[in-house]
Amino acid sequence: MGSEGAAADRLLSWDRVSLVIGLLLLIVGHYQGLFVAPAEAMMGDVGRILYVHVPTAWACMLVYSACFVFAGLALWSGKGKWDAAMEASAEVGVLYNALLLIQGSLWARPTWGVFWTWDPRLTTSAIVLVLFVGVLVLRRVITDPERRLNLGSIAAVLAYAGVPIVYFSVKWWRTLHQPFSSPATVSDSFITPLRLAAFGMIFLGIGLIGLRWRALRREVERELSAPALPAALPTLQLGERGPGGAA
Amino acid sequence: MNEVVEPVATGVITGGWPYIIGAYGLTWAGLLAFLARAVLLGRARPPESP
Repeated sequence: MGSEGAAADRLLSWDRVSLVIGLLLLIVGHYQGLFVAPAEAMMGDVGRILYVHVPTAWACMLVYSACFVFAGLALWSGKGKWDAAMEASAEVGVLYNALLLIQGSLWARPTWGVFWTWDPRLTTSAIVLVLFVGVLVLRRVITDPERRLNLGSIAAVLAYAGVPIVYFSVKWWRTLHQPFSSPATVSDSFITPLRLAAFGMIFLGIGLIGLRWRALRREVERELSAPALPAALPTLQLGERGPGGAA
Repeated sequence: MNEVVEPVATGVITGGWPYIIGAYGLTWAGLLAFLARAVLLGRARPPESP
């Protein structure tokens, strides 16, 4: 293994550290959100879903942004390691996006009266989930590694176009969903558990991407370095004689 | 698409712990399941090249 590969391995070993930090922050953040922070004035205890839903949303956008950057790097360099990083971050993005929609539905029922409504924020979030699932499916059906790198990365860049639309959907359209959340828009007593859970989801996301990247990189680089089969292999029919006279 | 859903709550919402437990529980279940899958796939050896 070359020095570049060893350096990449050292970098990837940070995935385990990030995983542990993320899990610890998430446990403390969720504990504080569930049992220490006061109930929300209007929503009561149901408002505690804030500490799992909003951090997932923030982390999901960051993970998709990382996927966009990795897709650009893969297209620019043609290197398998960036292709693997793109797939790893798309997987984690899909996980976070799916969790986001489930949490949102469970929050919507007691507050809006429905599990789902075709609200712009909800609809655009669901569309982005479908687009990134499409990216992963596309990568599964393409067997040629170079073609998969190019088409998969282009698909990821196109899918990412939906992310800013999700972000601005609460500003552009009339929506039931609340506007942008930030520490400035919530009470002081909510900020600490919100920040802890947010950093927890981000560190956990980095760790999960690193873990998947490590496994996918081996696979992708092995495929890309495998010698290509000649376009037209000489074929022998049964009973036909080869050049040496053997059947 | 333009259907408007009005909030049902007219005062402070009480209860709701099944939804809270569902949201946190499913999130942790999803995260841990993905983590377990990532660890297992990371340990699996890729097939030998032909």
